[in-house]
Amino acid sequence: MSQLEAPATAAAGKSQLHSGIEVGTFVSLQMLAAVFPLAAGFALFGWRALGTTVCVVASTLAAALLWRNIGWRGRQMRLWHCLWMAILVSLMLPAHLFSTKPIDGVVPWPILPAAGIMLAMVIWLLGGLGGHRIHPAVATVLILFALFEQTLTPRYVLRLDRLFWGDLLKAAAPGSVVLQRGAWVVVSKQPAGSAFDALAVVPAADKLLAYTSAQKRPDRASQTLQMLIRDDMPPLEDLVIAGQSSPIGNGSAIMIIVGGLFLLYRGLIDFRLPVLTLAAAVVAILVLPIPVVIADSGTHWHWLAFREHYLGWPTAITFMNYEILASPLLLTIFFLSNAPGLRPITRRGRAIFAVVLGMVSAVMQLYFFAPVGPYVALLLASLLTPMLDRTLRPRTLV
Amino acid sequence: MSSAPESTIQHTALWPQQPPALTTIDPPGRLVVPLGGGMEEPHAKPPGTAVRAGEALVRRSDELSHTPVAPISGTLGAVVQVMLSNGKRAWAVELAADKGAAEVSIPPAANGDRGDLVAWIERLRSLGVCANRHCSPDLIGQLNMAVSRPMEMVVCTVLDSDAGLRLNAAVAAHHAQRICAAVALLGRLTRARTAQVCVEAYAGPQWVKSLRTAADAADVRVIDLANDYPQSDPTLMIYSVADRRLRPGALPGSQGVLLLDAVAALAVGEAMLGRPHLSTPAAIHDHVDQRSLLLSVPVGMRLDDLLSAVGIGRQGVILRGGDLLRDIRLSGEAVIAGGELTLHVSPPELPNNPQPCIRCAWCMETCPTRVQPAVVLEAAQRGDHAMAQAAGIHACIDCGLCSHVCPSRLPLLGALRMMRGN
Repeated sequence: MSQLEAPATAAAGKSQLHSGIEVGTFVSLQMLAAVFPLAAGFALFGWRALGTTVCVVASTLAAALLWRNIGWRGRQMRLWHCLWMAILVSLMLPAHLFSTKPIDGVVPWPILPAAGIMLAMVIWLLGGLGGHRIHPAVATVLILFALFEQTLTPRYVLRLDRLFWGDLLKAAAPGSVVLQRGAWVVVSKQPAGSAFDALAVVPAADKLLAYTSAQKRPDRASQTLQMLIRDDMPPLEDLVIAGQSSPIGNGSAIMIIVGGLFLLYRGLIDFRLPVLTLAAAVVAILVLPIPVVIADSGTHWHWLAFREHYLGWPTAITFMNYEILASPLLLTIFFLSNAPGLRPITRRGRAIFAVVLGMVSAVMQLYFFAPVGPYVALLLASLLTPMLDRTLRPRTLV
Repeated sequence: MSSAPESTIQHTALWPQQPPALTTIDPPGRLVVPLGGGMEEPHAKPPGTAVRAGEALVRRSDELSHTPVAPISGTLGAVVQVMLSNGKRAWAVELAADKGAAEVSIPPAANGDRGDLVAWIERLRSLGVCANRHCSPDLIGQLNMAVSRPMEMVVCTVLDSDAGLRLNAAVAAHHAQRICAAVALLGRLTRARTAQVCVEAYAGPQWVKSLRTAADAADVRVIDLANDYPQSDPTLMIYSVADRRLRPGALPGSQGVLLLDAVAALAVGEAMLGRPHLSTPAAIHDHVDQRSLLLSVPVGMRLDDLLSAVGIGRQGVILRGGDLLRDIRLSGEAVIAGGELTLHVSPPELPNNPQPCIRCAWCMETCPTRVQPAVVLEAAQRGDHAMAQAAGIHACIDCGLCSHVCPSRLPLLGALRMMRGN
């Protein structure tokens, strides 16, 4: 009897006909990718970040267990989907919320279970995985931002020698300790701050928004874009690697990109969205007018692509890098914008969606809401998805 | 002229060193030979008639695509309806074996005997040559089409959909000369500009060596193609080699291409020697014991008899004909003839419990012809045929990849078939 060794190809899984990758696998791989930025957040923001995540996840699951029993919408809820959304929400929240001490007069810890319960309710309202056109996690965070903007502003980051176990709220009050400006790795080592676990850092996104929306009044006669970058902004490596105050998931751009590359490798996200969104955001930032000089006499607006003689490409590109890295744009394009139901199903539709997302993100970041600009942009861009799905059908081969 | 890829090292590890020979299966005591035809019962010879191997089983075969011949000598029984290995039903006649009688002989075609296409079609029909499966549709029908319009090219595909069932590749390796001669003959008869054989890129060298040599001698081109499922489907094959768009279900001849697989080419090659089509190569993949078998099976052999002959248990298993993902379920009463030649024996499966669609769009991204299966499913639920048409259902080639990748385990292939009326 002639026989061939049968390679282990098609015979995997319970059914001979199925690949074996089910919805649970799909969601668990998404959560696995989120481990990268989450781990960076636990390192940079300590046990309070872990507490924040646990609180949000636990409250979401508890609320979901209840809301699953309510009506036909409840029957569409899946616990693994709620878990995934809860992890995403925790990535978008700052770690200092896990505290009983008042911050700006508000005791922040109730925000965490409220976030979880609200998330469960939003998921119930919008439908299960693939059934919603609005991202439940994004909607939840935007509602919280509208209600508690000041409390949700991140403000601390652990010192390099206090990673993981340091107390984020054990930071010097602003002005009480004088530290030399520099990269986070350098500032962390300064003895003047060694009595504290964390550094108080104004988020880069807030500084940028204050400047680009012309809300900031110059300390001197005038302030130029170069002065902003040179004097006010942190080193770029703090945004790329680590060292800036930010939401838990946005602490390290590198870890977000690693998580995104994992999703790309596993085929869970379409490369068009991150690539085209970034490209569109870059172009928009270079083309949209920003204040190149803010003076008492007025503000001089100009676009960076066609720059004045005193602005060079290095300044333009550096500013563009700050805008991209200081905002949650990377988190949005890798972990949020590719959600099923949100992104169009056709390739051309996704390309258009990505370009719109990038451009609107740039507008939001520059003029309105730098800390949550990409989230608002995602909300607006996803309104186009049904129309794109209806009008842009793929051409069949025959 | 052949065009071998520059590097063949990295993929040859998937190919056994030598192509295995086909094991001949002895005919059982009873065969059920398909007669072809449509709804009306063909005019078979009356029950009790003694026939010799190679003798026609019908009195008249004008309405039939081919003349069914007796694979073995024996006595005819009743005419019955039978399931073929492609899941379709056809008329067939029972044949009880009588091993004493001699085979009918027909003189081989003389070397250089060109003849004309009509004469050759009649010759192939009278010898019972019949190929009507997914990757080699209705050979006689394609040849009839070529009578009225010349073909641009003749394409013989040696691609196999399943890496564990390299039936066409093994047949081509062992009968390279006959196959290339048949392809060259068909090229001449149909006045085609080119005659070519498509082999899998990065195939094991020993598998294609004799084929390349024979192709050079017969002035047949050898084309190397990447074999990602379902490349051997006629729509994708013709698009790849001829850049033409063939509607699923239409004969390749409508696009000026005569398409056949290696097994069909071998049958034509045998007909050149005057040998009737008494047996056919077949392959079985036993998913229970994880083994593959390449066989030469008498035409009309029932699957139950075949599985018994090769020692594969029949209890509780699922039988599928053709490509696995097409999910063509067969019963043990189905017979091997000119239809699908690969058989999958699978263990019982748990009932499928689909979840709601999560709009991941994997079905659309995987579909080789860019149909929107999820939209077709929704159209099926609504009974909306216009919606299904807008989703591109006319382009569906029934490959089953959409159901294979769907994380929600939705019955996408079933919905597509339902909307097409299959």
